Amino acid sequence: MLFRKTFYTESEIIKGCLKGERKAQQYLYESYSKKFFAICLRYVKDRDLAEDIMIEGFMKIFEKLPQYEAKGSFEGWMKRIVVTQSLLTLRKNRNLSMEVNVEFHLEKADSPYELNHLETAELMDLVHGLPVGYRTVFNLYAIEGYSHAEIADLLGITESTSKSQLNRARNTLKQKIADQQIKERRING
Amino acid sequence: MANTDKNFDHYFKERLAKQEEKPSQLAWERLEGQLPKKEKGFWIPLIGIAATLILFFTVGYAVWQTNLDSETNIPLTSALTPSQEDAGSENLEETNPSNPKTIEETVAVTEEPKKDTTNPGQAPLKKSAATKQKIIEAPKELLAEASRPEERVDEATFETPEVILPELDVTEAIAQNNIEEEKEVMTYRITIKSNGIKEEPEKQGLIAGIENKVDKIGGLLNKVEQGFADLQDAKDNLFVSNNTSKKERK
Repeated sequence: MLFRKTFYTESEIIKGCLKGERKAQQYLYESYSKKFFAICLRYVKDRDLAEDIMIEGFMKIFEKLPQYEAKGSFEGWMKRIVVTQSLLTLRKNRNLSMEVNVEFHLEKADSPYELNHLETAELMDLVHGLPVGYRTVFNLYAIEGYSHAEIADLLGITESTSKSQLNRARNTLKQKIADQQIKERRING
Repeated sequence: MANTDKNFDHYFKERLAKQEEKPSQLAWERLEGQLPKKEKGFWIPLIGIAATLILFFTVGYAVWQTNLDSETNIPLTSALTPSQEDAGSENLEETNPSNPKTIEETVAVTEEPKKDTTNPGQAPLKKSAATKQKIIEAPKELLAEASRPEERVDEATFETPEVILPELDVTEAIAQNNIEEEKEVMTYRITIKSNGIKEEPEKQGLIAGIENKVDKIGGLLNKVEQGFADLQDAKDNLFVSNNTSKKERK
């Protein structure tokens, strides 16, 4: 394993995968599966479903590899495929209604909150707690760094919907954080 | 506001973007199962072909061997060809004894009247007829290896002519009828010709050899089937003719 890691460069892996060499494919998988699985988990709570998406994502990566033109980072290219795959699955499941009309009466957003001591797992839980539409837009914009125009294109919604969903997502998150902290303070006295 | 939002987003991004989760061990196997097989796929078909060829060859060889054994036990060609040659010659008494008793009677019946009438011209006809009946019956020898019965029947035939002679003397018509029947019987000839099993020089290459042997086996089986079918036909016809002759007698 150590030998392989030092031996393979990114271009060598890509060439190997293009030839359909199993070892190169496995190496690519082992290098990125953890990151991609985490991405899938951000969009889909269910671990099994997330794993399916990741596997499908890798299949797409291997299929589309001939189309990859060494512009931009290889990892970024692969991530986009995995994200797209996640969105496709969400759309298939129809749980994702982008126009969430249910109003969360949490738009106060003024409640004080502190981010400093929050663990990654807690943040993940918070994101998972969001409604699917909010969560998807928040993931795409805040974490993946897509623009509202791209999100609107990807999800088939308008830019303004994307913006409003993002705002609601943020407010919901802030409110939840504040609520948690209030609870903690009470417990601590 | 925009600033705080950016910070807020950044805080999440910093932590969540770097996050890693290990998928289950099975995930790679599932992915591998879906990937097209190239490296391994190249050899698997070749191995499969080789295995099937070997299997085919061994089975074919085994069948061929067992066939050889059964052929030696049942000499199809050797039993039949001599009898055909005999048809021309007058080796009647040697061939007659091999007949089963039921047919013996008819032969005896036909022979004796002729001796009484003393028609020299009819005698050869009978002989040829008898031999042809023998030809028909020869296959029965195949089914039951009858080397002993031949001797026993010999004795029986020598005895019968004397006993039955006077009874049949009375009617000449019966004799004539019988001759006609015998002529009918004459029409049945079974000739099973085969090259036997000659060891032809094996063609070069495994596949050619296997094909050769498979062809041989197929040919042999066909011949055997053909022979049995002919025998069956002959037997049926014989029974029919026997029945009709009895009816005519009555």
